[in-house]
Amino acid sequence: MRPDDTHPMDELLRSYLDHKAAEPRSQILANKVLNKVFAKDELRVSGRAIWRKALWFSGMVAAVLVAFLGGLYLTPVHANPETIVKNAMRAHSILVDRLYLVETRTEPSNRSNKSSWASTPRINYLWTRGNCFWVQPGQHSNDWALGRNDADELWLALKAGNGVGIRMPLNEVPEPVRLTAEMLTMRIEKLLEEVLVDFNLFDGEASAGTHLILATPKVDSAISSRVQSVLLEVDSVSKVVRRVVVERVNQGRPVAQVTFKLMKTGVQPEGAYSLEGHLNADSMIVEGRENPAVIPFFLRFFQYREPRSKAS
Amino acid sequence: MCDLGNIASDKISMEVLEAWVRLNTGPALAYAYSLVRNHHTAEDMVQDCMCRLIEKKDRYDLIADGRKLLFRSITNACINFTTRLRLVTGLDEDEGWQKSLMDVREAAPESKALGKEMEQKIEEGLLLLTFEQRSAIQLKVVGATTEEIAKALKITNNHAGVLVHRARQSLAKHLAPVMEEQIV
Repeated sequence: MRPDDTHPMDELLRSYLDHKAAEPRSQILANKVLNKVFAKDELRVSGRAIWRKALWFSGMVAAVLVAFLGGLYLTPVHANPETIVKNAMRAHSILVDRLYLVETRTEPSNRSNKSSWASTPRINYLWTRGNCFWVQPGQHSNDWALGRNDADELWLALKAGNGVGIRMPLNEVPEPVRLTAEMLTMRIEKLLEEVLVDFNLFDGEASAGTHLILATPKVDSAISSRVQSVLLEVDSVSKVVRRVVVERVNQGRPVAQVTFKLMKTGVQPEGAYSLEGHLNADSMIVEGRENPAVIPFFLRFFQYREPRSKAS
Repeated sequence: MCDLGNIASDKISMEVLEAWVRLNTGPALAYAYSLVRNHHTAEDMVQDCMCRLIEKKDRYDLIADGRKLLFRSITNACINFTTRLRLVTGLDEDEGWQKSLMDVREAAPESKALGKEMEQKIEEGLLLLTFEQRSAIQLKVVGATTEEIAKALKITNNHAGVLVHRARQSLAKHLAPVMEEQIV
């Protein structure tokens, strides 16, 4: 048998097994396991509290004696920023659904911000799972959703009436739309990879329970033309990235500050990252590969959406 | 029993642990069910194996190897269960496969969605395999090496390789009509 003996059936079976995670029966059993795990832990903590105090006290005495007699100078262990980012990558390598609140503050003075998105700070909700994401508006309406599926396609669902959906491969999406979509969304695993390779990392002022890391692009990196800095707030216990602030630039001028704040982890329904998951059976779906009108449609949605809604 | 030992001062956080449990319960349950063909027994086994694994999580890299270890532990539990069943009832657990196949067909009503149809076909395809083939192929897809499969099933490496190969062939044959429809 060859060392790398993968087979098409393996991938199919793997997808089948992964798919089982979202089933109600599985989640009920997962809840049972978790309840048991956490309940046992609480019992253990309360039952051993006295012993723990005694151990803690004797441990403290021993530590003081060791420090005094041995002349040791104990300093707290301090992880460097690279290690913190690597730990965060590991924590985020699990394919779970994460909900981020995304606040976008565009820079009105920048002439590239002609779109309606620039007028006010925007709040959106972003669900991510690996490379897939979907965004829904957080203010006033719930009439659209934007996402990227596991086939690297960007889709837009407009829910008014019977609903209309458009979808096209990400590499065929026009540049302004791609950039706006990129600004509104975040693939945390990719961002952390980029931060490790293309950025200089600095320790920020950490508050209790969190590490703060400021990342600025290396001078010769390609990303320096798009991003001025990234601020990462990483939970020191869970290693999960709690907050990300990205300062975006274009040709040296500020474009926007985008803040991603982790709200929760959870399980999204199957199909949440696909266009069909946001439309009903009667909705019309237009594929960008087949219909060139999709491109101006995408552009209109991002650039002229708000003036149009005011007029109506 | 599920004594969690030192969970509060763990290397991985509660949040990560919860995510791990949520992501692996379903696959583990599907695996256990494919081996014992009884939902209640499968659920008990998964719950027990997960708790035991979590209890010892400081000894392993749960994120990297957890699923593989969980599947191996379920394999052992299922082998013990089926051996006991044979001793008590004198029945071979494979004798129940036809009933299980009927259960799968009844549980999943005819659906237009190909995804559902494929899922049902995979379940049927797994039930058509022998116990060892089902174990071997599923251990393989969660990352076990041929040696690890052989160790889990207490067979030789060559035998493990043959089981994986035959399971793939059998599944491919069973799924071919659905896959052709998908391509058309």
